[in-house]
Amino acid sequence: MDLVIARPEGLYCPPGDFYIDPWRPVARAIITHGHGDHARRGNAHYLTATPGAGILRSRLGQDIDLQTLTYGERIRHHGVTISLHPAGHVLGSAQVRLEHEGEVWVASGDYKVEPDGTCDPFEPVRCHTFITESTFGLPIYRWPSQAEVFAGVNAWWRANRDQGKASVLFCYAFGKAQRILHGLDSSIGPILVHGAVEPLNQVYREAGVYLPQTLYAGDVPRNDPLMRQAIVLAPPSAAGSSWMRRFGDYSDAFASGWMLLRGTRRRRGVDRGFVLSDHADWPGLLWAIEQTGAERVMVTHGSVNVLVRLLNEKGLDARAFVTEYGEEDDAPATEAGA
Amino acid sequence: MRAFAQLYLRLDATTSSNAKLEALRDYFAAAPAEDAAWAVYFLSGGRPRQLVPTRVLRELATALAGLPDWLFEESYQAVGDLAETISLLLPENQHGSDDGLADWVEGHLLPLRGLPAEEVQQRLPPLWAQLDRPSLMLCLKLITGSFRVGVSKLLVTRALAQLAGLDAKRVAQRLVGYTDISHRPTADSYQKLIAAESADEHSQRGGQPYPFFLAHALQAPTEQFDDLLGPPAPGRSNGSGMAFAPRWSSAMARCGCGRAAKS
Repeated sequence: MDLVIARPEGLYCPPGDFYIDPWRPVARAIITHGHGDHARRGNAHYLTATPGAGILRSRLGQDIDLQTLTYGERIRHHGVTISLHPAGHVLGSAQVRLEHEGEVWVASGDYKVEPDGTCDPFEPVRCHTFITESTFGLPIYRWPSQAEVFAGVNAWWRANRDQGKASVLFCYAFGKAQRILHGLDSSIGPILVHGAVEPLNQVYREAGVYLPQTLYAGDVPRNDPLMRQAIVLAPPSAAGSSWMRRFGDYSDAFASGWMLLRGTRRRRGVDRGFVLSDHADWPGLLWAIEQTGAERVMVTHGSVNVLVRLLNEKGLDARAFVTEYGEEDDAPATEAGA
Repeated sequence: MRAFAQLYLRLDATTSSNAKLEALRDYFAAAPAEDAAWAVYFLSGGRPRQLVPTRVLRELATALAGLPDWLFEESYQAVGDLAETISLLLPENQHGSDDGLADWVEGHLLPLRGLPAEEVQQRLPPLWAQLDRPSLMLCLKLITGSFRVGVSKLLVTRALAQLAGLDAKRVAQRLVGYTDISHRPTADSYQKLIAAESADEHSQRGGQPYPFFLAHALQAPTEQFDDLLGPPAPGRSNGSGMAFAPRWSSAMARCGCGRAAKS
């Protein structure tokens, strides 16, 4: 029996009568992580991993009906054993393990296999059927090491500071921003953040993740010489807005896995592109799938056809799930205004 | 090769003309003349004839990356540039070759032209294995003839002029014909680009015209042309059609003639 099927509301578990990351409001929703395309408003009951509770409440509202599970803790619901396991994507991200009558399925949401120090690292979970993303499902996507990327970011910041220019680094406000903060060398200069980033920093700090001291960019007066030494973290939606004017002459950069390609880097129109993703690269995807030992793989979003075809050629039973995941977490409505 | 790859990255990483100019000056100040000669050639738009057929490159890269053909094709569709696609798919090497650009171009790349496919497929893998990713992409772009970076010939001219303390117009004039398909850059030809201004500059240039572009025809009376344009170089009216005979001058000015004289 299929433990997860695709329904118009989202991925559904028929024996357990609940959904995983539904995109339409339902009665019971297990949320793999707090990005906007996976955690939506309007569900009656939420279940998520304990470290993700703060994020979910800050994004969906303090009053949501939320139950949490620590990683590895099991509960039974309508005969289905549910447990959550680290996905290494962002703070509180989880893979959902479902077990029913000896059959095990794992829905991984979004995941990254390289540990980053801001969330629990990805843990392979053995299963019969694995539901995987394929955001970067092409062999061209191989990430440089984080140490290399952060060395590049810090060098860029230092060079700009020496020229008396602010360094504006665009990155998604939840997850990517905190990961960058974690890797910045705060001895170079002050770190300023956009209003969309600071509330999430707060949640990370409360969860015990070390982040260097940050200043809210709005609190720094215009023309303050501090600006010329600072690095500024802002969501991509802030690019080109009047909010940017306060920084005077600045150099800008964008941090994303898509920056690996020269074309995407140039189309973004920023000075620099840093290759930093919270998704698995191609070797990471293949490694994760292999580690689960699954014979069936359901592919949700990204380069779905490529991954399905390759896995089938390798002798696995791979299929596509049509979902509404994969829009980058950069809703202007929630981030630009704050 | 690594130094030129670093220059490429610097040029590609900025949209500021000043930053690009600085990167060019830094490179030319440090590069040996034979490497600088080729750098000027590629940066100002010169490209040798295709060195290796695209099909041979694709087959070799697909085999080295251990991918099925369709997956290489999917990757190429996502990237849009063959050289970049291959550089992203080949196994990564940590150490870039420190051999100069001229060594690479003259010693390794140019000799590939016209070789049988099997020979090319034998020679390329050990070459590629010496290059880190930026150098590899650059090497592939030189092979496929797709080398392009956001630098104008004018900017290269300015960088050389600043470095050599010359008038940029003089460097522009000396550069005429430099990227010609028949011209092979050498240390000597680079030295001539940046050489100090000499008294017989004009005769050194042979029949090369100024690379100027007038918006409209020269309206001065014909009798004044000799004074305005200077006398024709002796012995250079050799039937190339480029001599500065008065009756030709206004026509040349009108068409903005910048074609190099082949002598």
